[in-house]
Amino acid sequence: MPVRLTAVGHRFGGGPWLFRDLTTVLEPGHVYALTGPSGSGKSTLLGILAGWITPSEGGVECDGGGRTTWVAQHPHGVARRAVIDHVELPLLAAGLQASDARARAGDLLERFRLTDHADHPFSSLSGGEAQRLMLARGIAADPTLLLVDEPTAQLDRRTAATVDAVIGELAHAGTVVVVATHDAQTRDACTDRLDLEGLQP
Amino acid sequence: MIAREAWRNVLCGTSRTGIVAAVLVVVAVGFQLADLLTVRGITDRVDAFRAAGADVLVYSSVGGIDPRRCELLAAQPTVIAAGAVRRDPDRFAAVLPASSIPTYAVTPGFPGVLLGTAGDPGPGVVVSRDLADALGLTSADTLQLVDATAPVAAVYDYPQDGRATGFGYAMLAPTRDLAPFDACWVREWPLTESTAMLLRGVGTTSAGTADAPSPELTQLNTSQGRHLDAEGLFATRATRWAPLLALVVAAGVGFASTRLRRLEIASGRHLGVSMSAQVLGSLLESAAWAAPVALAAALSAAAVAAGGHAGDVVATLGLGALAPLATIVGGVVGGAVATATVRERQLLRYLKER
Repeated sequence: MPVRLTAVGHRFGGGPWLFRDLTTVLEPGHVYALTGPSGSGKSTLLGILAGWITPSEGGVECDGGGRTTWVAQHPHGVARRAVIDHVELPLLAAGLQASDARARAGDLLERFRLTDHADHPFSSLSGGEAQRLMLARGIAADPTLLLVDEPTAQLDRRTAATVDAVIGELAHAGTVVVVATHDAQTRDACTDRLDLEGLQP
Repeated sequence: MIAREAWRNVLCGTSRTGIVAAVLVVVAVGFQLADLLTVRGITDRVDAFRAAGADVLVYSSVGGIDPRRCELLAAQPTVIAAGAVRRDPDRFAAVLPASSIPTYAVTPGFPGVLLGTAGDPGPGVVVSRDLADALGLTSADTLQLVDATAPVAAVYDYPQDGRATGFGYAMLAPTRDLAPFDACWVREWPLTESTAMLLRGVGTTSAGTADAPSPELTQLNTSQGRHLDAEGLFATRATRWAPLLALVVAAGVGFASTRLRRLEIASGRHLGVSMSAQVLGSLLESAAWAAPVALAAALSAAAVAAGGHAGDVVATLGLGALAPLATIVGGVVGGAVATATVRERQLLRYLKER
């Protein structure tokens, strides 16, 4: 389901406008890089899309509703549970049989290049691996809207490249993906771009 | 699926089953033992009180006791034995004709007061331990007196532990004659005011001549105190709150140990796992620590029960189950409440709190 933003603008209290007059349609199957200079409101817009922040003006519509999944900047998981368990959990929650969930989680781990780590505990993953696992898990939840907050901000360039390499795998039928980033390579790994630059009045 | 997730959390240590079980075993067994040993202390005091004969009341009225009324007191539900006693002329044993044996005529119920048992010990005389030792008698022997023989029906203990003197070296000769007696003895547990009142009424109607000493009601042994309110001690013991405290402490442990996993719980909720599934999972994970808690508590209660009276085993096990049950209920509820109060929308805050 597409997400429609109509003349969205936001400011905190009586402060200056972060951005105004943002009108666009975000389509499923696309991966949008949400870019803009520091302080331009990338995280704020992500919060508005998540429904946690009500915009000061304008509106966001998501036809048909559905789940919104957030992938945080800092990867987090259950230290001693296996990597594949993390991907299985949303599949099991969605009602898949254990064997089907296992198989689907295995496919996702392969797409996000984590097959070798499937049975290792979460705590054994490096920062880049853990972030790729968060992306795989986000897709496993099959959300209508997947919001990814600065996935490479905490990583060195070489590790970030391993995450950028799988950003394309986020393109998922039925899911609008928005990746907030200030990293040019992460941005280039996305299929589309949503730039807040120039939306400040 | 929920059970499998719970089982995996237990196996890999995510549930912290080991540490939670260890802490709750200490809570359950600690509060359990505190209460059981307090109660044991009360029963030990009761045992000492009764062993000293402090549970025997003596109503003295020389020549003024009606033996039938005295014996009737045994019908009171709290009375163990009752009987009347009267000083008789001393007798002499054939083997020690020079040394007199203080002798008492008693009603059939009287030996039971000293023996601590209801009923008639059977035909024959009843002798004190000291007399039996001096004459080399046991309860199956026959006592050879200078002028008669009598089977020894029983031997009673009468240590010098503060009890009234006069019976430490003595012989009791049961009789069914109804002439007035000198005293009525009653062994009763627990001591009741109503029996004391009835005891004051066992005098003969003709008693109370001007020169007779006035009747008095005494305790056979006052060295243990006049009263021992065992039921009161039990009802007001400080450790009666042990199960409640165990409940509160265990609820805190259950809540805290689960609250530590709030990020995991909020994240699961965000990924579509329902709160009810998570609460059910929490209950299932609780079973993993509840089992060792129950086992440890059962073993410690059994150990305490084994060291007590055989008749108290069921009561000890029952009382010993309270604190462990409260611990398990507290821990389970604490964990479930902690799980239910985690909010998905707090996910980002939980992330920042790491």
